[in-house]
Amino acid sequence: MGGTEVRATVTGPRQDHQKSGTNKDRGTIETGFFISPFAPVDRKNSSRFDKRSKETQALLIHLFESIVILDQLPRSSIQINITVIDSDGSLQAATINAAVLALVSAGIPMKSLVSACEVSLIDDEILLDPTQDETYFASGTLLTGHVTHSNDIALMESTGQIPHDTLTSMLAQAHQGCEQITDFMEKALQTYAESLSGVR
Amino acid sequence: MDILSPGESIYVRGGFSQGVRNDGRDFLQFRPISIEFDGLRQCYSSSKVRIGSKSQGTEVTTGIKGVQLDKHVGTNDTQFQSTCQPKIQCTVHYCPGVNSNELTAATRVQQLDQRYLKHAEASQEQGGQSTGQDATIGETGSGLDSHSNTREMEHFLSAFFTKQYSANLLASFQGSFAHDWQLLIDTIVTEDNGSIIDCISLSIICALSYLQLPCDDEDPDKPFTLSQFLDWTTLPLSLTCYSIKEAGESIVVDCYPEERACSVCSFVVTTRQDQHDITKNPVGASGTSSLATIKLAQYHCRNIREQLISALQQHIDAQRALINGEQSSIYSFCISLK
Repeated sequence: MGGTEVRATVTGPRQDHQKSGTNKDRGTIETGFFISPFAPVDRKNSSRFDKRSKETQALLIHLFESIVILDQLPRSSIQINITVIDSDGSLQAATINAAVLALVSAGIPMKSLVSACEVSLIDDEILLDPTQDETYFASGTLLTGHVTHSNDIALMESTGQIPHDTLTSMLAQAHQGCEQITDFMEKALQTYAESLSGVR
Repeated sequence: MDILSPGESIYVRGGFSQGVRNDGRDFLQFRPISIEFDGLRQCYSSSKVRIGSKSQGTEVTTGIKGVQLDKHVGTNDTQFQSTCQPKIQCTVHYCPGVNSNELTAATRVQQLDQRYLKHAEASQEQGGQSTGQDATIGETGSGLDSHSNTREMEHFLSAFFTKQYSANLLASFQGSFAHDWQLLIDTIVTEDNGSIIDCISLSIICALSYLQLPCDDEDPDKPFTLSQFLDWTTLPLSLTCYSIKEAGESIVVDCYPEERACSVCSFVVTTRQDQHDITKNPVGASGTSSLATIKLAQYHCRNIREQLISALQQHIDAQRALINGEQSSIYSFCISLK
């Protein structure tokens, strides 16, 4: 998405090696999140276990446990690994979109597709898909994940301060942004499916 | 990868004995190499190198960033004219979900012990008769691996390339510098199907080939100026060479994991302009090779380096022209070495 490049891989479903006591009637989702040292503006070695990685991993698990039909995958685990190659804003939205496409490519059963985008508030102006520089100056940022072709919201997370009356406008703007992302994802999936079937 | 089955081993070795590899390449031929410049916006320079096809290849991405360490202020308020030999720090990371195909020394010993114990127990259960199963361990040679230690491989590769590109070895940036620099060369491995050291080495060379560092300008109206390009033809290139019994005295480069599993010995040859360094590959093989094989490897690696330089020259010149023209676009191309 713009200057943000994210790589998502999905492994599974494979046998779950969880210890006894966990729910064996449903599958589980495990995530890995890694930011390349050269991705952020300030180069730093990000550990796989630092706070930001853990937060994003928890976010992905929370989202996909409600989207993926885990009842059809008992005693199985699905591993979703994310690598951030370049970061220039809307990182979490790009992560979610990449993970959704990877799950579809892997043939994991899902209730629906989810498209995500971010909106920021800078000086009473709402910006869709902000860059890294714009995020620095934003007073508030809203991340939303919309279920495609419906008005349902699968994920919503805000940071900073957003006035109550502006929140509705930002949600509407985010919904429009997600619809654009959905069109793009569907075209990409259609091209991918045609390439698999040998039509193209 | 899993340990080779006897059938696979016979198939691969049979091909080598006839002078043919699985994909029809010569022993000294690389898989197609595709290179992409300037794909990362946040870095001073970057490159993405892929050796092999999309379905079975090795891909790495290298990004270079710099940190200014000290500022030298000359007397009489003049700029301190100097050449800059930046300090280098290289790191290599495997993407989550990507495991190294190499077997490090520690885990290799562990694997050998476990396999030997299993065979010993099995032969005892069969009445203590030797079934010749122990020979299988020798036949699979250097490549037996199914549980490679990715983190250990990351540490090894980071240390290997940091040592190689230390300040003593890297060509200097010419120009007026008022700062000392530390270059941070970070590589991420997105796929590993053999020749990981070769791929990373090539990626670092490509990224360094069009690197320019900002330095203070004497003109007070200009905030900074960019240094001249490095002489990239002097940078070290590392190639992994394998010695396979069925291939005779010849060495083999750019091996798949299956081919590597049949090798007797492997070593890394690092060639600079007029020098060679031979490193016994601490990952993988523990066999020995003759002096003649090592000399042959030096000769062939020098030839491969010359081919690579001539193949890359025009593309690097084009990329430098784009940089000088202040055009930012991703430049990608493919080369094939024979």
